Amino acid sequence: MTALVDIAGLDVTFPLRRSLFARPRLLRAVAGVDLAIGRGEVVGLVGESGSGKTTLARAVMRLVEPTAGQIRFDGIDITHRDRAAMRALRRRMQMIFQDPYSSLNPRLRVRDIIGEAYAIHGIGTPRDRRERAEAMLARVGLPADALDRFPHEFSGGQRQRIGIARALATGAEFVVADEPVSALDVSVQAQVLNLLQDLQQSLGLAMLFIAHDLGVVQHISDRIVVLYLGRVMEVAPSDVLYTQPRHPYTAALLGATPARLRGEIPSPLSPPSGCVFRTRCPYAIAPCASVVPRLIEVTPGHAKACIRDDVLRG
Amino acid sequence: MSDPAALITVDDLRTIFRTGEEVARAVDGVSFSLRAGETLALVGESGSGKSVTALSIMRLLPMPPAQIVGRRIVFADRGTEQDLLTLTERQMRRIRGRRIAMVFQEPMSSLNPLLTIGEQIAEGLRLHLGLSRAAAAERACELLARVNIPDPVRRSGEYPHRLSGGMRQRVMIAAALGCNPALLIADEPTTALDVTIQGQILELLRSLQQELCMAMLFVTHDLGVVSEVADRVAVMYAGRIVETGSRAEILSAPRHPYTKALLGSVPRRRSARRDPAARLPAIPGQVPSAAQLPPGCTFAPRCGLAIPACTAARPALQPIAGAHAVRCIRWRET
Repeated sequence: MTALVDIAGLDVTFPLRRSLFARPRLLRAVAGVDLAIGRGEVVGLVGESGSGKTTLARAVMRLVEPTAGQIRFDGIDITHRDRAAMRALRRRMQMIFQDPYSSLNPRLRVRDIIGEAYAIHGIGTPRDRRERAEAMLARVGLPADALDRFPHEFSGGQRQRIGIARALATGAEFVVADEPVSALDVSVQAQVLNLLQDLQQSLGLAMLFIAHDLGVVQHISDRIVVLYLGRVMEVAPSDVLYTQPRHPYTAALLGATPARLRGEIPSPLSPPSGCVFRTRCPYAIAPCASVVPRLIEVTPGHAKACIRDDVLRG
Repeated sequence: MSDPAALITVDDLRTIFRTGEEVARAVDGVSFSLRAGETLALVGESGSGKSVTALSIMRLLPMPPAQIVGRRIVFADRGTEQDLLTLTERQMRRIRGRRIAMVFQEPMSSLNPLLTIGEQIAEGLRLHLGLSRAAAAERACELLARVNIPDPVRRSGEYPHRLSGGMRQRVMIAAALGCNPALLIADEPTTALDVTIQGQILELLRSLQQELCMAMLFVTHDLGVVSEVADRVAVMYAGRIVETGSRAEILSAPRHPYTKALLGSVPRRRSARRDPAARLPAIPGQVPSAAQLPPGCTFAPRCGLAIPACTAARPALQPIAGAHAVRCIRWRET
């Protein structure tokens, strides 16, 4: 089976310049990530702020430029495609953003927010776009009269539904959802999660789902990737990751270790040598400072980047 | 239901906002009390009135448009009882920051970007305790050490933008604790932080609270946080407390349909195999606007158990057992 999205050795580095004449310092936000997402598969991406989740997601969408590595979408290498060529593909790959207040143009009516997507991709005639938009709204559980209203007339949950309708209007096969429910209240969060799950299943969407809430991620994901300082620490099927975490960082995130995680995520400008997690790891030993751990499969579909095979054995 | 041992007793608090013709009843008859050394978590979604309750106690709401119309907030500190709602602004200033301190959600916007963190902590100490510049600076460093900021002397000379979110929140806590307040109001203090840092901050708050025998009013929307800090919990919905009880009673044996639904709608980390078809039990609809509260029980329009009697009259808070009470006429059926 070929993956719909196939990321290999992806690197995203930002040059930071303190002054005009200083040599730029390099911030490596994503460092050598391999990740394949199958058709209809939901992959969850977790990690603290600064772990590179959003940069990775944006790089996959080609909203930031990768510095190295390869991104393939449905077999097509899109790593260096120009904007025009990307635009044609964007119809098939879309994004849902965290903040439904800032991601919808306040000056456009819902009709135009969704209709814009059809116009850009040349889908349908102007007349039939209204019908399409109405059908799309019904799919996300909004009444047809919502079409003629402006974003400010809706609650946060309803706005997120509009954002979802816009993302799915052009028949996307792959969606990046970056913290789609974290700005919402708990009672509304469940409604939107259920909607996303329904749409994902009925449309067979592949999804890269980013959230800091581990309960939310487990609920929706088939497989979960744990990121720390831009590197993959562990990958496993959702249930396995939560019941048998093998990487100390995952265990700490899940609160599975008796000791709380001390300290904070180091600056990506000067990541620790060897294993980047070692400075906060309760199991770190001397070799952790020199050996860069490789992502090694422990059981089929479950891989971890940690040299301590003797800990967290389940 | 007044508790003679209470440090603070909020009695039928009503806070409204007037904008033009509209009157929004943000806090609509809230009562609770809190003893020294005790933590009460005020839980609710946005619009529930939990933050307005906290700000009403601090008298930090802009008036107008805000107006506190009822009834009293008795603060029994060091043997004297005062109704915070009748104090002059001048009297209130002697309590605010000194006897009742507050920590906010977003530490970056509550810190002055132009002052070093040492200076901002010292500012409160000089103002409230009359310490000299040197003594205040020294005490600021002690406080930074107390909230586990490494290398406090060097750090005290740094500006807020140099610190991470977790460190800034530690600074806010240090500043709040500077005068040994009797009551700390923490409004979503960990919401903007990562889970790992959130745990550290909660642990810090808990240990400081025990050490200083401080009462804490912890405002949050996060039921996970509640389980970590609260002794007692008050669940708010549309300006009213709908259920109150011990942490165990609320989290393990909730009786109000809203509390039950809220707990049910949180996706939980489970050890059981994930069922891909499983749906979260969501609460339909949304929190009503404070300007248009539904008649009777404000949760009735979203409640699966609602009957005509629910919208006829405002339900009273009914005792279940001990301190556990619920504002629902059908709690026996839940």
